[in-house]
Amino acid sequence: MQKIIGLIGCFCLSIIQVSADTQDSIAYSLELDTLLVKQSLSSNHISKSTVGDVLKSSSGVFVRTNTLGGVQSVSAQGLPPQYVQVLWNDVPVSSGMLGVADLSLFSIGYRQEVNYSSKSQEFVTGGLAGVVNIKNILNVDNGHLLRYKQSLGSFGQLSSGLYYEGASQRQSWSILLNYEQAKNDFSYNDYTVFPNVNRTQKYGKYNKWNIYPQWSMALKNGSHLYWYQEILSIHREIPPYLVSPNNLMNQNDIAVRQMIKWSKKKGDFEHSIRGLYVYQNLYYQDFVLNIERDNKENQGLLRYQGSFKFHSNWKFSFGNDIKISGVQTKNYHSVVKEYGWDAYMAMSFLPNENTHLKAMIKTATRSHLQWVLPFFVEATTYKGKNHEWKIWANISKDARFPTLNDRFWVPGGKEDLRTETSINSTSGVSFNHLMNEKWEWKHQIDIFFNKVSNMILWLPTNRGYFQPSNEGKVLAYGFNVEQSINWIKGFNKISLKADYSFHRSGNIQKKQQNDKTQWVQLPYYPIHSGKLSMIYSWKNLSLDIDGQTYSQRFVTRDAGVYIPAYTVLNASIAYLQKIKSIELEGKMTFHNILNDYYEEVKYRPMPGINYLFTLLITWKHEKN
Amino acid sequence: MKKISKRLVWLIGFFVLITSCRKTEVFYEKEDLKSAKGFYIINEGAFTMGNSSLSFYDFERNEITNDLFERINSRPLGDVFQNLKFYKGKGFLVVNNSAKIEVVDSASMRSIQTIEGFVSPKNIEFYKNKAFVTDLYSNVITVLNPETFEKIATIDVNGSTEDIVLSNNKLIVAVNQSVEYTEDNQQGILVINPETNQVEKYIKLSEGAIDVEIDYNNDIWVYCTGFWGNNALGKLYKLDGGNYTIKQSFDFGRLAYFGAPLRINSSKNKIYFALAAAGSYTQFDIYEIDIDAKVLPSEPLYSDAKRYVYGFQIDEVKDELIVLDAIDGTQKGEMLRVDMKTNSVKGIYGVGYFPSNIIFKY
Repeated sequence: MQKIIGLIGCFCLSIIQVSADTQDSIAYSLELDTLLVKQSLSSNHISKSTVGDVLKSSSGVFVRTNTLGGVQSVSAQGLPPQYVQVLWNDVPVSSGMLGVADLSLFSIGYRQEVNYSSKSQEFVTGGLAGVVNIKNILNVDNGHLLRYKQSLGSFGQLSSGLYYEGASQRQSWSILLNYEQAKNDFSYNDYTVFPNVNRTQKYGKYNKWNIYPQWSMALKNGSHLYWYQEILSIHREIPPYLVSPNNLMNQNDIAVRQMIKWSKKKGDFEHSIRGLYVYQNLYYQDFVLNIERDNKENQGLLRYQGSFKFHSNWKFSFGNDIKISGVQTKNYHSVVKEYGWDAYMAMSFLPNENTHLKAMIKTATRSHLQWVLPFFVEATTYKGKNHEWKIWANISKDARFPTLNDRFWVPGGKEDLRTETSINSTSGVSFNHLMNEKWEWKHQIDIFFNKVSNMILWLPTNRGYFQPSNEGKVLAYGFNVEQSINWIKGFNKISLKADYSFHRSGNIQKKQQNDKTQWVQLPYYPIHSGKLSMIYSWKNLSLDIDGQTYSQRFVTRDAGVYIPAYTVLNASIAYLQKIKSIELEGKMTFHNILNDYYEEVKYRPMPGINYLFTLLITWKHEKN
Repeated sequence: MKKISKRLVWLIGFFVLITSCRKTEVFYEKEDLKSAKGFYIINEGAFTMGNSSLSFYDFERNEITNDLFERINSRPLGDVFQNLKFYKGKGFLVVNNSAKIEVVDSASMRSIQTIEGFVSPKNIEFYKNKAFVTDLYSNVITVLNPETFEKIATIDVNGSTEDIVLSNNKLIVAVNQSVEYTEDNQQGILVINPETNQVEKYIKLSEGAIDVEIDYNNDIWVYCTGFWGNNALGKLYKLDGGNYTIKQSFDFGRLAYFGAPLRINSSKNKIYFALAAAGSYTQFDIYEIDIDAKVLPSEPLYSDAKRYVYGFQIDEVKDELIVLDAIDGTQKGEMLRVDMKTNSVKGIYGVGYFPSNIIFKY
């Protein structure tokens, strides 16, 4: 199977590849079978700019933004974005202030991998709706590679990128430089609220640059050193709301992420120390709570956070069947001067070659906040040759600590808020069928059930401001179905992939007699969504059509205001030409070819039909 | 075929039954609204959500029409709808966070003009073909021509301006210390000469002057919320309408934030105000006080711990208290008609988000 996908991956310019093993994986982390999304981010995503753009076409997760180049948030399992924890190389980077990560501040590196797992308490506490992990890969071939990327498109879209990587026997290094901008001055026919009125989107321009260096070295004592850094700066003019034409904001964001890791393996024992420094301008408007205020004093207190973490892994093996591993993480938060720590013990047990049992128990605390004891238990069984059948099920408990905003926002923040907790269960079945050397079919269905208690809601008070309280109780359930077919004959390759997701979530706590929010789908989350990808390639030419469709989404908790359903279809054509050690690749992409009017955030129209042309020039020199 | 037809009949019948059970809303077409009597409900909407709206309750039909502006004009009203006043056949809808005033024909509610260019308009008052617009985040009161909609002048002030009313040919403006509190900012009321556009007097009161009413004796009642930033508590003042001296002040003993907390009956001899219930974080009670009273009433006129009162009005003709319940602000609210004599609820009606104010149309 890997052989076939690998072949397709070589020739199709935008297919998702099976990613290579990374040198930087935590050796003793549990590879959960609830991993629902696994995409390698590489040159294949030449028309995408951010990690959010890539996740948009992945099943099981839902990404929304307010404009081209705008803030992007990811949500899953019917819950708001703050319940998906975002990790950067296994370390949480969601905003300590709002608990949300802006995925537009994560550029696509040359060799990266993005995963979404419905749970991963070993890395983090608080991903009640799952974890998105963005991981760098440093398995550079022994040689040199230089790549230049240039894109031009509608609405003044322009981007330039330069990438270089090299490796020697003991070291590998790479650096990526990017600049992009767009004017975003597109027109749209707003037939949903202004019949037959053609309007022009103005003041939505942005420009962004980022530097992404990486380096690794194998030391003589058998240990490894790794260094990753990303510096990203973006300036954007937030387009005004249709209903609020003068409500224009300028926003400058800067993100600096830097990680140094040392690890050494010796038999069944591994030492690993990593340090992460994150500096992120956290000022942006939260889609859900709308609690940002233009108060300089408050921002001075809450805008910046720094944390430094030490991970130490250890593992013991008893025979070949049982493995126990653990991690202790200590946190120090520089803003609120608080310490916290997480520790877990995980056990992996193999009763026979077709069955895998995993269990984990964890304890975590943040200073004076209450202790939590997350856990999960997972069982997987494989059947048939080539692992054709896989069935898994798990149950877990997780907790989410209140954010800095919840606790310290002035006015309204409450320090004595309780942690939110969830009972979560997911299970699934997947089936890979290799018909012959030409055909491969893959089917997968997974279901989830999630009950969140003590959910923090910001509600108005008679003091003149909003305050958070643990009044929410939410039930979410749903399923994802994924079908894919790959076919190869001669120079012809076809790959089809279709996903459908049903995610239902709602408040189950009736606060008062006239409460109309009971069992209404939570805001900004579609109940139905589908994604489609069709790729045909012949020799060096490939055609690609992908699309996403979403049912209507409510904007308020009582379903009183909603965003209509919409479908976005994109099409692209690409051609690859090799001339000795140089590769030339051109790709023309047309976005929203149906020219559908749509909004991802209420009253912020998204672009109609538009194009982007990208040229890639790659030079590669391999050493023998 | 016969079986299918029978099922079809049943299906249609069921559909008709379902739809007939549903209470349909009145939709005013063209001039229908002109003769209608009732009151408008300002649904402020949640900040930055763009879901403010205008409702109308019809006395005769005992029915409510929601989203009136949007349904008639095929576009949303905007973000944070603050006030509605009528002048010479036109309605002026002040939409705060959309920084605009929508002008409509008062008979049909059809849009005539959108006046833009404000920062954060809050309230509007008229005097001899002039419109005066207060503003939360700019230190000016804008003067407009309500016929041509052009800006004529601005009046410099030092703070957020909130309510504005006309009394004895002077404009009485509640001025607030603004969101970014500074000692230098004004807090109290401004007396403005509408002929000259000049501030003639500033009377300093406690923090958070937000609402003003004029009583039968032309005395000026001012409601001050207090300010959470420096623990200043709320107060109610009665000022002499002639020389603007303080005749009476009442301490609430607690913070008293409320959008439009002060109301007066049509006889102008009773003042009504909303006040946070002691010990509660979400409950507001409504009190009644005679204009000659020397102390605050000990018992509220209306109190319901299950409701989040966000606005109210007194209908002296029908002897009703109209209560606007925002529920929890994240869902559409309700309007209640409460019999003032028996304190019983005569009717409950669904309205928009954060219903905050009522404007009568007789």
